Amino acid sequence: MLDVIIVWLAAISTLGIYSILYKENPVFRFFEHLFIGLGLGWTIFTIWKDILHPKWWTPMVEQGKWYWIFALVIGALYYFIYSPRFSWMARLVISTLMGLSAGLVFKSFAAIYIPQIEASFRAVRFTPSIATGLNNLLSTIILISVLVYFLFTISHDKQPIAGISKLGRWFIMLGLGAMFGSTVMARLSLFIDRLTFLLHDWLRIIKL
Amino acid sequence: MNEWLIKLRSIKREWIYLTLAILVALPLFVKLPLPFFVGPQAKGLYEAVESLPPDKVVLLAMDWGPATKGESMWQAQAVIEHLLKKKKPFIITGYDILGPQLSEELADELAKKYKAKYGDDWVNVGFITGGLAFLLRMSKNFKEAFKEDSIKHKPLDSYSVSRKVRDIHDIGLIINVTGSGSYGDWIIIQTTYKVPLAVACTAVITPDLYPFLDSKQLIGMLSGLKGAAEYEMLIKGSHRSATLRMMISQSMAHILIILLIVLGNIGLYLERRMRTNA
Repeated sequence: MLDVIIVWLAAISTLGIYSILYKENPVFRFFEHLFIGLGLGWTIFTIWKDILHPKWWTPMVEQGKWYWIFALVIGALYYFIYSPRFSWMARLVISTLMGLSAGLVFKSFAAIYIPQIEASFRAVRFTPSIATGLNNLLSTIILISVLVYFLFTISHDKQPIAGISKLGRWFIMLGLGAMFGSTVMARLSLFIDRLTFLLHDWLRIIKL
Repeated sequence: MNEWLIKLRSIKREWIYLTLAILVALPLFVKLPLPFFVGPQAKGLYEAVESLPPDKVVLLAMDWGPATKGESMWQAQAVIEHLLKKKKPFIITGYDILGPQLSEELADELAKKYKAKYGDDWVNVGFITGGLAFLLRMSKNFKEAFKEDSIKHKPLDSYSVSRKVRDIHDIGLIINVTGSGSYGDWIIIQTTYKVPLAVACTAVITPDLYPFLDSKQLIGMLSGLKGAAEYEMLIKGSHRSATLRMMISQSMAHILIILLIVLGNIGLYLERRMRTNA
């Protein structure tokens, strides 16, 4: 019985949200706010259950690790940002986190992009495979022309820079087209999933 | 004829939505024989799972939630089914607050089919906070970072799956099912510790990930619902699965969109020509 109620609630919520396709209306607004509220409530509960309770509250209260109270004190310093007189205390925490983040970003850049820079140097030779050679040639042409497009310290008015830069712009447009196509595909997938839910789980008129 | 084509440019959007809904629903009722192929990216992930050494564990980083359920859930389901079918032990975690919970439900449901058991075949350590800093800590000392599982709240040594995982080198494969840009942190772990990584992402993210396949930072990728359908085809053969039928719905929608773009442009061209002639 509970399962049936859950499916009905989910179906009504889905239809309520999709009512925006007709026009802006109070039903859509209601379900939009309901979704945000539920999401926030669930997030707070899970953070307490999975993180704060086992990793902070339990060691501090039940295992005698009283010094964990300082985590709360340091975290609470953030709220001094609202006080013009004591906002320097908030900056202590913020600057610590900024330093930490900056260090991690350096690591991220090296780990993410250096292997890609290495991989972009490709041998343009047509043995043993002509297809691989053509792929590598195309990849090299695209790489150079797009890089030239982003060279802003030299004039793009004269040849050959003007032509190469224009070619680079065309390749960027092709890339953006592929990205937009993928976005359309992703959004349609979400719609298909909801439609499958309505027809299969709610109305039970199709079999999967 | 020309005037009719020009009128196509001003079709009310409600009619387009209705046509789209009908076309998308049609393959769910009637089996349409459209061809479907498995790409090398999905094969890469499939082969990595198949060839996983018996002493290694798979880490499932489930960074998805209800917002991308339409793609991510089907991917997670296919991957978990493959792992349970092949008796490959796995640990569920993730950045998203709901990802590990939703994946746990999938594992629980599929476990009945493959007679798998929590603790022996998989463990859920819950969602993680702290971002990359936590992942780096986890990579050096797994049990110190996670301490306990999130279902029964017992130490990780209580379960045969997690008992043998000391650090990241005991993980044979990381599979990141993601609806966001969280894959970046997992790529850093892959590059730093050389652990094989595959990403199952939403279709929106796919173009960003191709360079990582080229540089061998990823050994495989599942792209949106298409990736889930490809993976299901690999584990279930030519069986026409739910995701495959959904992909045919997707194709129908794409055909409609292409048709509308072409007709709209013809209408625009004819309107301009009529204006020039007038």
